[in-house]
Amino acid sequence: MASLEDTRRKEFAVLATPAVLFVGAFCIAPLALLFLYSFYRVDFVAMVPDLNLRNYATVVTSETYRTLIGKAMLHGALVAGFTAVLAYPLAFFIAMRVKVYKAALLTALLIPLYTGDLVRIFAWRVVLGAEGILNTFLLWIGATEQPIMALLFSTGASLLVLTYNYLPFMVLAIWIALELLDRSLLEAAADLGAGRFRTFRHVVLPLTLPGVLVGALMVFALVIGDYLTPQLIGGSSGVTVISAIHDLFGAAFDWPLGGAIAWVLMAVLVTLIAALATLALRSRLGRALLRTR
Amino acid sequence: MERSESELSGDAGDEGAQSPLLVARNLTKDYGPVRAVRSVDFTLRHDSFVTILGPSGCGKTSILRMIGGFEAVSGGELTLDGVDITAVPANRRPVNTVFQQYALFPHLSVRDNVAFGLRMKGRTAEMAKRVDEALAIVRMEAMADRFPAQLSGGQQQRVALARAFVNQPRLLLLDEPLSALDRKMRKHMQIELKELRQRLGMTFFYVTHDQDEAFALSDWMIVMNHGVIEQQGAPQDIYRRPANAYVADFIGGANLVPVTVMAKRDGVAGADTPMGRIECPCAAGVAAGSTAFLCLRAEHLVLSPAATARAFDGVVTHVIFQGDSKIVEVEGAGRRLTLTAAGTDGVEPGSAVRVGFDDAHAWIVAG
Repeated sequence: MASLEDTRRKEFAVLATPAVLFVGAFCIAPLALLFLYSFYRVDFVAMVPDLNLRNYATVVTSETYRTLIGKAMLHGALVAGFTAVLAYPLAFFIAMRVKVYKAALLTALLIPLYTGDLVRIFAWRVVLGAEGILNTFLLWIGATEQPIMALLFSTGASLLVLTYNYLPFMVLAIWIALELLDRSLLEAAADLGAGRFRTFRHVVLPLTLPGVLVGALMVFALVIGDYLTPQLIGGSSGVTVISAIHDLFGAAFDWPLGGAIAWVLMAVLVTLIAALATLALRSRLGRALLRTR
Repeated sequence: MERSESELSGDAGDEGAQSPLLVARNLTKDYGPVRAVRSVDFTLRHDSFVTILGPSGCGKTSILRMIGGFEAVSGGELTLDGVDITAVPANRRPVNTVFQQYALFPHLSVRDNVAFGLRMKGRTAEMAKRVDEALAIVRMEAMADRFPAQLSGGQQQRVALARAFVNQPRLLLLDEPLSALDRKMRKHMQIELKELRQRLGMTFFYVTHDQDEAFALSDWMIVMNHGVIEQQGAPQDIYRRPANAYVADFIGGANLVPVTVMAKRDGVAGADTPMGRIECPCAAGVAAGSTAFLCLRAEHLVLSPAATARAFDGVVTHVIFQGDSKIVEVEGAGRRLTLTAAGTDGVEPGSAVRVGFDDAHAWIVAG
């Protein structure tokens, strides 16, 4: 006789199989192949299965690739930080103060995501460009004599547009955490003498930090993987580790080295995320909170 | 606890020279067009256990939340120790609350939960000692470093209590704190609560819909219905002398027999009943010439009464076994009446019985 647990297991197997097959066939298998290629060697226009670690040595010893990976991490962290700071007040407002128009506001927040990447990026070029809205305005009010070229095609511009792009993800992550916050805890804090600020500092913020962390991980990964924004907004500073991989797979025809960089990047990302998650879960609080569910 | 018979209802009068702890005057709460609390007046004395009892939606929780400062007062005023607190925000009231679902902070240990109030008030010097004392009182010292999720319902309840009373509030509000516990645990916690209150010498204001709980705990009871106070007084007075048919029915489920009041003088009514004419004490509001109810408690109705008692014939319709006693439902005097009896062997549905009661237990209330 099948126990309830056995039935559950079978149910899970049946329900999960399509997704597992899909991801396995179209994502994991190519990645595995890429992993294999990363040990190959390129001889003119052919890949030679002469397995060795030369490509990984190149990645690790090359100043350029190390800097690119470091820059990707830095930009990911910066944008995650910017979005968190910008998103928290907005998410707080939507979750705590808005009652009737909650759905409308959340939909409005997502509208930019319905338009394509390119559309949004070119919209920013219209704003930031040499003859763009911002420069025209600055010239008109006499704040500057010459159009400010650094508004576009700079690291700053790139970070600005990336922040704009991924803000909705952060807002959603924090908003969910705030919606899940038990409102009676706010009353309990007030009852125990905490004013608004201290209720936020001691109750709301610590209990919604997991939401901020989830949002940060999402934005971090998305920023590192973003190819278009640095290319089209960053100008000469737009070379990223992703564009380097793209070049290696394209013009340079060095799939093995491209694969090696991709795998190093992935390894760094996974290690970082795993370390963060372990830290969060290993903490006394994390263990205690997990036990509620 | 013992009160004079004359103190039937009305204000929880000031005893001696001591002024009341809390006074609510014309207290009103509106939620949009709905009036949840309709201009109620009551007074809480120092060092007492007050329960506010009523069915769900009667306004009792709204009153607690207004005293706690979680709901704005729509009308009337609240005075605590002579100070008007009507407009004082929750975090500045010398009142603490034990919430229905405890509302413990999940990210803080038991110790930090209990210390929260003292920390917010900057009383860090005495904090450790007082937190330890409070935890000892609720016997949770050993659990001080655990988190709420690692505690059972009863343990969380104790922490919630300690977190509130450690601040030494003037008034402790308890919002149906035992409703989430199982029956056995609830009985146990009732005794603990009563002992705790005596030990702390604090006034407890306790919201419940459970009349047994209200009887078990309180020195003073406020019975509410539809946003108004139907009656307030000592539990035994409310039980013996309900102010009206609603209270008589809600508290202890009295048998109510319609009668015609013929005369009334000095709180004694003469009424024609299906069991003959009765003269007995009556509640205010009973008027000569009107229809009222004879209120008979189940335990005051007896089967096969002595010859001296007032008696009538009836037929048993149901018998419900209760362990040490039985609940017997009898059709008699034109009504279905409920009585409790021990040792009723041979009484079963269909048996003809004689039911009686002593006039001394009779009480008449207005409809």
